[in-house]
Amino acid sequence: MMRAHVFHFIVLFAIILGGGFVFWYAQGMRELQIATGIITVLGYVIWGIVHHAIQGDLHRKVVVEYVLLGSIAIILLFTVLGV
Amino acid sequence: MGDFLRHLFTPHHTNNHRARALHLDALLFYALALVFFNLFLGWFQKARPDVLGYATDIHLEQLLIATNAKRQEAGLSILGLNASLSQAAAKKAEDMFAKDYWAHTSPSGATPWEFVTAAGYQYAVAGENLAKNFSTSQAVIDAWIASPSHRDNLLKSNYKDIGFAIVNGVLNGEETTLVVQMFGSQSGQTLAAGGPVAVKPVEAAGLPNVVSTPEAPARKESSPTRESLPQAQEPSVVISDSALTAVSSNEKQAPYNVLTQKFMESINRPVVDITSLKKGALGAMIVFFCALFILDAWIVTRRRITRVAGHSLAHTMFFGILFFILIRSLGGSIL
Repeated sequence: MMRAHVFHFIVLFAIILGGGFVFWYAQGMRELQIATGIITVLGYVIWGIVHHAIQGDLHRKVVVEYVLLGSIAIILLFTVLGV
Repeated sequence: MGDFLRHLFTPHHTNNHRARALHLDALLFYALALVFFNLFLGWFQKARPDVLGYATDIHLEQLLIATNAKRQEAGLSILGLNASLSQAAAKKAEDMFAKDYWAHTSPSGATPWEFVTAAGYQYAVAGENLAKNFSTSQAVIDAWIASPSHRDNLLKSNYKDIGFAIVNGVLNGEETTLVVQMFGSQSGQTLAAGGPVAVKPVEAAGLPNVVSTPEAPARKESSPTRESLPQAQEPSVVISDSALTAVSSNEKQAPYNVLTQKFMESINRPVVDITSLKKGALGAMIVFFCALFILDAWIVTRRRITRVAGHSLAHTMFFGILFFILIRSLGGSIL
């Protein structure tokens, strides 16, 4: 169980870091940065749902929590990019 | 008061073991508050740009002095401001805004040295550095110096001339101050009279090209040359000699009369700098989230609380990385 937990977090770390790297690499290409940000946030929300489903504690509240935090991240991103 | 803060910020039986500030309605409130903050910033910036706007203080003279100071520190000769290179830089900046690109080569394939030759500068060697979204001249130079490839370009011993353009505009939908720095030396060119003598050995011709800050291929003396632009096409604003630290020998004969004020500086001093405001607000919000999630994870783990909620460690990781990406994005970029 612990090993699976660590693996889940490695996957999450890879999703966020990969998204961050592409976002940084796409400096000056706003459309690509927006797309990267949205895809990374979607990856985070999906990760959350899958992780909690595997853990056996997936609940509608949990899904809404990930969606709301993802929305906040996207709004922060739009604020920075001046969208 | 203590009970209220505990209820607000820590997992407790009064808040169903999840800080009230992390409940779903609170998260929805933050999201909506951010949307309104964004809309307000956009509206207020348009209504009162003198109060809220992008602060910039970039001058051609400061860029020239800072560039030459870095070269002198490295024991290299100072560069003379060249009217043709400045004109090439201005044309390049205009082209970048017109075609909406952030690259050394335009979407239509025009390279930096095409602008150089079109401005009447017959280079033996040439190079280009680009910067955008910086607020001060020193910040631009510091960013170039911090990047090995740009630093190599800036500290290349076989350059003798330099040109700049500082232009405001909208690039990729973003309000931007663009700085174009062009370097070059012409065939058979000598050091400017009175300039410091390079103490570093002069590098041989045929230096490896810098990938991110392209250097033009060496041009043979016998290469066909383009005609210089007619004098009549040159704008008439004069840059005073006193503002310049170096003048190349051929430029000493003619005054600097190529750049319009439009390309020489970007000065905007609103009461509130929108970049600093965004950095502060977003930074504070993300730090607030991370602090709450870390506190939540620590207390829940310590008390072995079982509950239905998202993973605080995952949220901390997510917002922690987001923090660095967003704060970095609010700074300037170089190319």
